[in-house]
Amino acid sequence: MLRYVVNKLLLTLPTLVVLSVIIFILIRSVPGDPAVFLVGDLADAQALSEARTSLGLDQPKVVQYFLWMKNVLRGDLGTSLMTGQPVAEAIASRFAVTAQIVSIAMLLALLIAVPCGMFAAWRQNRIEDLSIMFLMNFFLSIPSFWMGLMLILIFGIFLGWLPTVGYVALSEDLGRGIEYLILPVVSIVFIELATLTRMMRASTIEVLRQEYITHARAKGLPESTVLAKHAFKNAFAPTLTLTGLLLGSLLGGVAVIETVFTLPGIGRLLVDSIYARDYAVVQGVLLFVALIYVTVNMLVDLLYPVFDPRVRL
Amino acid sequence: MPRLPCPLALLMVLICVNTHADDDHPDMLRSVIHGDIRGLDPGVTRDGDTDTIHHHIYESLVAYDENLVVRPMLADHYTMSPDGKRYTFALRKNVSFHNGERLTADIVTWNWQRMLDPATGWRCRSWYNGTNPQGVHVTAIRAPDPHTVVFELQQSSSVFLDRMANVQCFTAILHPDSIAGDGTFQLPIGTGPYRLSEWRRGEFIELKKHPAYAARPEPMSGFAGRKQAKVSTLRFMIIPDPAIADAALLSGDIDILPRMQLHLVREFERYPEIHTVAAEQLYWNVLLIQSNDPMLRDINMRRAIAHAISIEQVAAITSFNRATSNPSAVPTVSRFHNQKHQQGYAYDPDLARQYLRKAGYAGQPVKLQTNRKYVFMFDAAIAIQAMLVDSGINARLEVLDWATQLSNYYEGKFQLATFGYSGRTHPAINYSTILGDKDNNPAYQWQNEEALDLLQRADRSLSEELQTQLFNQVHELMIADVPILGLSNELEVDAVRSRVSGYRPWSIGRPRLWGVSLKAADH
Repeated sequence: MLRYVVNKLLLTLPTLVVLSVIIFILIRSVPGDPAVFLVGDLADAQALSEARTSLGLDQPKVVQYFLWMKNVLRGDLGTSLMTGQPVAEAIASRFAVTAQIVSIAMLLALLIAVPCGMFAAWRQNRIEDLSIMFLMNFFLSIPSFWMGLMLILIFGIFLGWLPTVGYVALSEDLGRGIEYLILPVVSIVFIELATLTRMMRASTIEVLRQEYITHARAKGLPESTVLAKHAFKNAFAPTLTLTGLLLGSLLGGVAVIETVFTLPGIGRLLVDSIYARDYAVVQGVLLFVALIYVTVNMLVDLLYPVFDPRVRL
Repeated sequence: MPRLPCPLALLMVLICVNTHADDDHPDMLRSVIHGDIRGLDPGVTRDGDTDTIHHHIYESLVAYDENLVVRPMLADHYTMSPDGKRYTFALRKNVSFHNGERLTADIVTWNWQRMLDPATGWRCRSWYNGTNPQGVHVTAIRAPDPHTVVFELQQSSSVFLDRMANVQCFTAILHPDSIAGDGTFQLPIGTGPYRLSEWRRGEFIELKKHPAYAARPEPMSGFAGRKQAKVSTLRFMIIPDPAIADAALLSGDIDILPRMQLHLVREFERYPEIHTVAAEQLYWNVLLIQSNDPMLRDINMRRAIAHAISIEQVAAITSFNRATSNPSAVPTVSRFHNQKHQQGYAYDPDLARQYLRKAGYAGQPVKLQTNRKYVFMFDAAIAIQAMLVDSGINARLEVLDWATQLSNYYEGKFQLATFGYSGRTHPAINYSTILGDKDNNPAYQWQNEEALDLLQRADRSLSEELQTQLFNQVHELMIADVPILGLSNELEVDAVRSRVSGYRPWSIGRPRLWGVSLKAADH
């Protein structure tokens, strides 16, 4: 397994190098001068020129890239052009918020989706299955921003039960932290629930058709045991793969949810930085997101043998 | 007895307790800023929202009052020598910084030397070091005694004090401990009525009352006068999305929503716990016309465009019938604005067609750049495109993101563009933003030597009457040249919850939360 991890990490390096080039070229291909944003509406030719020099934008692009890579290899992702905050510091603080919300939401989504999917598969084509799938399709068709706005409207404005804006870390105040987390977490749960449930249902249907399940039933085992002990492990493996992909994508930032609930997460940091042409932050965040994606999926791969002993790493 | 699962019980308790209401913040005033601040070093890292925070923490020697007249702030009073080349500021003796230390003349001179040092990166150095033909040249700054500061100028200037009081180029006086040994900014130590308590990036900026603040005796007016901190804590919530800011105001999670969406004003006025307050702004909405463009270089073409557009209708459409048009760079609230500045171009599609014929226009497409970030720019572009098409001009919209449009503005890469200039307090500063050598700086919209000469005469004149005449002439020249089409000054409407008392917007636009108090919670 250790060899697998090392190999996987080594394979990550060329991916990140290629990605760094693509990210660097892409952000610089987008029209818009960061110096203009830095100087603001006081810009005159002299101020703009000074700002460009101070940002290193007067250097050839190739030189800029190698300077950036040199600093990255030393662990320095640079400094935000707009706020002067070190990029690594910004990523760490923003990722903590995103990770907290996403991990709770994914856990809840799995806790609901797995039994729902298995139950729907078990009751395939019956009213229970149709009801669950109708509900899931309904959730799937709701855009995340609209879901967020509706939750704010109902629970924040009409009922006045939950806050509409702001964020409190759980480590700072558990009670208030939960209060501020409910709406964003519920929004993400709704978004991901349908995908996970459908996957769990499909894989369970397939597993329930296998001969070893027929054999288990023939032995006279109760259905709950057949489902939990025999069907679950094999049926869950594809859902686990999907979970990895979803988690990687969500940890990369749920910009819409973070914007709707004014959460200082990494998705909002990325979007704001793109709008402000804050090259250092955009580059740093995208590299970090790529790394997260690779890491999460590697962890999922490592978990595979737990559910499917046929898989050897 | 059945027991609820623990997480469910916790959730229900939280829902029933409803701890987020106003009752939870009896002495905290919560306002909105639409983006995170750029930093805490005034005039170095800034934008509009950043200015708002800075003006609560720092003060300068002079400041604008409500009528855009420069008043003393940290200065007790000031005098000007008869030739206009020397300004003497007598400092107030009871002013203390947030760290408890007293304001002295040496600290003021240290601040000015720092501002004018290229290493600081202060954005408006060219206003004072003689490199900008429309700026001044400060030749010396002296502190003859601990309470007096003297500025020597190479030439007299009518706008020296106006520039000093400028909101964007804040000449804030910081305590030297704000700056680290290596010259970098480290701590915001000012003399303002509030001091920084906490800045959570992407979340909020919290300010606490400066307990030793010595307010001026005059009534509060603009950024001048009595700045009394009536609530102990101010929290500026960072809410980029306007719809979420609306929701937060309705739910009571914020108290003040500056610059609300104008189409929602009527709807908000239906809520008894919310009222709206409005003020006409210095912000100038315009249509930029690129006179360096091969097609638009022809003045007949520019005149055709000007006569094809009803600026009254554009102002009405973009402001929901709340703002009036203004063809002049001199804002309607300025004391320099008079009838002469209301003279623009008559809306006359037939005349526009005549000018098109003179220009030999054959239906070539004309691109009109706009963006969706600023609603009024987009709405104005839609209205203008329709009017241009109606007069036979093949105008096509080009919707860009704001960063791209702004870069195009600075590089002169556009034919037409809807745009806005943030509030400049003096006509000389307004005109100096648009008037200059376009070859050296494409951000200048208008190149006219005669107008430039008039502007420089106005800069040097100490007579307000003469300045008014000169600005009238500059406006006439601008109308003749058609380098830019003035549309209107923006109207700002702020929504305020009923527990807030004493808040009102003003023409400069940056919210002022001193002098504002809170009544009992309205939940």
